[in-house]
Amino acid sequence: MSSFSPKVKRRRLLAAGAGVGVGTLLPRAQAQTTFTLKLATVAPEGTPWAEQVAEYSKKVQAESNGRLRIKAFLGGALGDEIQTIGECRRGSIGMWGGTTGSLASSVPEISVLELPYLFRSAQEADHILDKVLAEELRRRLLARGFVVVLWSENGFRSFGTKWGPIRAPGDLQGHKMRSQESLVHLETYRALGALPQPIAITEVLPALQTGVVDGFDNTPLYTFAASWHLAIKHFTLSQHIYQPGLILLSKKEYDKLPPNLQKILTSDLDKITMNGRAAVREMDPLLLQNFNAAKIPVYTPSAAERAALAKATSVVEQKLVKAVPTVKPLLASIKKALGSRKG
Amino acid sequence: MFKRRATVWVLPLVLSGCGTGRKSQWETPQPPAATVAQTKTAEPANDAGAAAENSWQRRSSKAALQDAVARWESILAANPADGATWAKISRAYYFLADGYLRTDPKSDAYLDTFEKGTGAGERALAAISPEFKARVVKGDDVEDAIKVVGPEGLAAMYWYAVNLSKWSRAKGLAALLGNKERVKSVVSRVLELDETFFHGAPHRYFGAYWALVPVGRDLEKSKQHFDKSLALAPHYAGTKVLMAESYAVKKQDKALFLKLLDEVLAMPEDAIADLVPETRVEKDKARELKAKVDELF
Repeated sequence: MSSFSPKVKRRRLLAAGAGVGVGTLLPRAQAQTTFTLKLATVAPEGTPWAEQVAEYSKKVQAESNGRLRIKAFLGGALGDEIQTIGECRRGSIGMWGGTTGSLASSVPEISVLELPYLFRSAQEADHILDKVLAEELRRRLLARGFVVVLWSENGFRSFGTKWGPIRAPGDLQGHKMRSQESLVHLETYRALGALPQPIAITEVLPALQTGVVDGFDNTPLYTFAASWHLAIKHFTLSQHIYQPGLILLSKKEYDKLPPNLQKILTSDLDKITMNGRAAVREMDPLLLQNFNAAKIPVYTPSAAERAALAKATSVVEQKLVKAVPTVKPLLASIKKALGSRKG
Repeated sequence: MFKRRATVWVLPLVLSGCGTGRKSQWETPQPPAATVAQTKTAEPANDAGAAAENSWQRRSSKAALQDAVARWESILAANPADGATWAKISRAYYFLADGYLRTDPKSDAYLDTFEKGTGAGERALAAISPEFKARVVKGDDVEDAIKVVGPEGLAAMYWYAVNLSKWSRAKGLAALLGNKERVKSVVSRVLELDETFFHGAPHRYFGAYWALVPVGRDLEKSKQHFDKSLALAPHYAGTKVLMAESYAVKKQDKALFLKLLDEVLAMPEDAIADLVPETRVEKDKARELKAKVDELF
């Protein structure tokens, strides 16, 4: 089933088609057609991501004079991220908003962006995504059936634990940790001596409460959105993995649109992109206050402790390169660019 | 190699019972400030109470509603430990914001009014249950301490929780996420004590909760709670409006959405005799929602 719901006003179509051939009818009918694209995301209502989608949707509708409409299904209404990214690729969902962690199931080399301690700041990540790899990633995603709309962010992931803060790699030794089902995430935990447990998002809270797992990693925002804070005693602001988010179009559906509408969907998005990222980043200090109110101590590792954690997880890079050799040039570009910024 | 970071233990706040994003008022039973209108000149408590009730009955007028609040506040100036009156004020602030200010949810007035309703609810709870107050002042979580509040605190708990919920939503995502467990625990206590309270209110709340919760949405549970609330109070318009707005939208059940709203619009205003003003507001909300049908489906 196509995600498009093209609607042509019957009277107009009949008028356009009366006494003329199909070759004449199609362009005239297309000019009258309106299109509705379904956008699937697990982002809940009220979040900066939902607001970004709304801003984008408004812009598209206005610039297309109402011919293009984006119908956002928030909060996982159409399914989880991995399920819906597959449907987007096949064309049964027109648009998708989600994290690179889940996109890696369809585009494995995207995992390179989530290597532990790759970025020291969100600004470094912006530089790589917007300047250094923008074109290369656009090309690679297109080859896998996706048109990049914009890059957003989920944010830096940190550890929530039931037993204490994470100051050193050994602090995770032997602990069962909920992990995203992605090579980089699983290997990061293994490098720290932990036992990663891929568990579906909806099962994590009971798993924490019953001792199936001893902790997890995620952003402060998601930790509260999912109420996982109820089952932990400590939150370590390790910020060990930066996780971008993005909005994609199904290429199959994109190709069915007239060029002027295609352009509207992918042009002049800098402001919406930057607004979205800023809104996500503004949340962090407020969310740290939530930990205080919930009486959960937040520990920020020192520079030396971060360096030790980074060293312990550096092996993940080799494992990723071995498993997905196509990441090599991407990784080289990132390192070169970050090296020159540091220099 | 890494940016230098200070090693910091961010200690939990020792301020007991401090909700996310606002300072709680468990320990401030002093007379209220004249917040809505000028405090009335002193008059005997009985007269003031009757006058306040009279204004409350006329709450379809915003001015009358504000007058009721001001009169109740003048009563509390003489007796700040009057928990029942604090609970009435909490409900009145909720109705003031929901009924008269909801069209501009970004306004300071909207946020401030729910903040006042929350504060009044806190004072009501502290006055009605000294044991609850002692626990939160000592440092217990509200989520645990609320279990000691009995049926005498139903109105205080409910109006506190729904004001806090709406305030948090208006304040922003961080406040919403930070307070949702507290609101849930307080309404759970109401449900435990009396599921029929205020026309099936606890089931109504959980109907919306399970439809809107950011992670772990359960539309089946949502429907069960809404159905139960409607079974307990079939003529309460607010349940149908909320079910349309939350459950029907999440379920993408346009037919149900329209059916529920049409039922509200067809209801007589006095379907529940003492809730005519509330029913009028729900009818307005039903019209507003119907106008957004193409946006929502």
